[in-house]
Amino acid sequence: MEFDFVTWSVWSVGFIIWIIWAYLSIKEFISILIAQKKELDNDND
Amino acid sequence: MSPIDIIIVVAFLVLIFVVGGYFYKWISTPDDFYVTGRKLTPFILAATITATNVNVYSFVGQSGTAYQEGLSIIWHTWTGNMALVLSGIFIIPIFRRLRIRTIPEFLGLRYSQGFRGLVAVIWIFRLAFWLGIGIYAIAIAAQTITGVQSFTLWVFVLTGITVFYTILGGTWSVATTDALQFLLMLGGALILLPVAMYAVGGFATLKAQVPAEFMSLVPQSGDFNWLFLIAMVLLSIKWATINQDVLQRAFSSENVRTASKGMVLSGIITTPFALLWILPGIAAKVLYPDLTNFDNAVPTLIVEYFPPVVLGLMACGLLSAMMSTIDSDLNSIATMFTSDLYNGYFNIESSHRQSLTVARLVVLVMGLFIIGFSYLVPVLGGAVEANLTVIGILDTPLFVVAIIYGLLWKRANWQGAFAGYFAGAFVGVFVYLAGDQSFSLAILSSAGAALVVCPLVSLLTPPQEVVKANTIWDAKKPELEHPDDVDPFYIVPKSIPGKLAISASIFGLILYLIGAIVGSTGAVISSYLAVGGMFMIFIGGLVRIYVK
Repeated sequence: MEFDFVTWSVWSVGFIIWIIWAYLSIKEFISILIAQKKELDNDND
Repeated sequence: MSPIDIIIVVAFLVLIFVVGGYFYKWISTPDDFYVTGRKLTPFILAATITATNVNVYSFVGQSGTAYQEGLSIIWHTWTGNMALVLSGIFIIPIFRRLRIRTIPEFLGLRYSQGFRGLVAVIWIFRLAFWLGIGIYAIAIAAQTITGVQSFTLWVFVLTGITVFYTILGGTWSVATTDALQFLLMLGGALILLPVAMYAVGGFATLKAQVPAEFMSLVPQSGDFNWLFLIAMVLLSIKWATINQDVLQRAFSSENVRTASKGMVLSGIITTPFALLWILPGIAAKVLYPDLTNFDNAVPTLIVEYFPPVVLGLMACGLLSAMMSTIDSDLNSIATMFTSDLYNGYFNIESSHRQSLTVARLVVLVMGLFIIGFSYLVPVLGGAVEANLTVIGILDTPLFVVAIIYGLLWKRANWQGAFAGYFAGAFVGVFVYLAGDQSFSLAILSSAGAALVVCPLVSLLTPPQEVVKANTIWDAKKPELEHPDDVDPFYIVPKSIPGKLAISASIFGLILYLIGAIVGSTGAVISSYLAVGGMFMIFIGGLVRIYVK
């Protein structure tokens, strides 16, 4: 079977977006987690 | 489904249960529960908007329609994406600046508390019915894919988990599990496309085996022809500007620019993903040409071609798609009931604790309601669809009075809004029921009636107090943003790149509409014009959110 250019182009674009989004979402979530933890600790003090 | 797949699905459900429940201690005020204390950042926001937007209907319903009608159903998603971008740069900044939690709250600010209450009640009913149908659909899909044939088990497990974490962590749980579910859902779609294409022998083979019209993006005839493209973009703009469950996510953003970024990025990223579930639907047409239930197109492909482990992951993706929509809708209902009705009418001076208790109780009651309603869906049959259609028609006059007149014409008053809304609703429902049940015709008639009646009645009745309209008009300027906000977001940008960006988006919309109209002649260029227009909207939106 020949290389399916259309399928793998669509897939590659989707995969790249997926990887970038996973990385950036986790990064943002960690920042929120740290900020929120600080806020909760301050409230407890 | 093999035992390893069952283990994967159970592990996924436990993970969602634990992650969702974690956020209980983050909730101390109603704003934490409704809008994450307005702390969401751009990429998490885009993920949660996308997860709310994409659901089982996308994977099962749209791919089923692609099986039956061809590629052009993809505009159902793509017009929604275009609308998210346009709403993100033109409308959302105004709403976010007003610091509202719900669309009815905006109607209260612009028109009257009575109009706010009315729309809140309609929206609560609308979402409750939709949730019952959603749970029914996901329970049926879960049975097909996992082989665990117990409707009751799936309804109780999926509703139970979703209700549990929404009660505990409100929007924090919803947004975080949505982000996780977004990754699983799109991960599942990434598995689906190559498997489907491998099964059919590749894209070229697929294209050779279906009629040319089937692969046309702007067909001249059929149910999803060039006219569908025009109707869909109007419906999508309406959806992206007044739909509570999507917009509530944007209201949770940390500032105005983040709200805009979340909407624009969500619109852009979903675009390539739509092909991941539409093309497999068309592949199923070649593989299983005689299916009687088109919605089984992709589930049949999944069950036949997916090996163990991959099948388990795909099942998690599908469950994610629906759970992320259900939790958002539950949260929206709780927010509207508590904010617009309980705090608006029954207990205006309620404490944070009282409001939170009511919001959580609403989620619990709604959970019980949707469990009960999911059993009624097969009994009610066509009545459910008719009900949803009627409720869908009611949105059109709401869009006219809330967005078109509410944001653009100061003289519009609450009498005009009420009259326009009811006239549009009456005409739309009448045209739908008395005619040949054409949804497009009903929508257009409804919009036409509201467009005429609202200004007429407004001009025949006394003007509304200036302060109401001024509150909204002031929100078009960045002065209402937080004084410390060093990055104000102008709807009409100050910089040349910003001006060029919004011009590109507007030109893109015009190009898209030209493409759709040219599609009526059957010219091949129509697809290029429509897709080119869509890309111009995206490029304009992307530049706009990053420049002054």
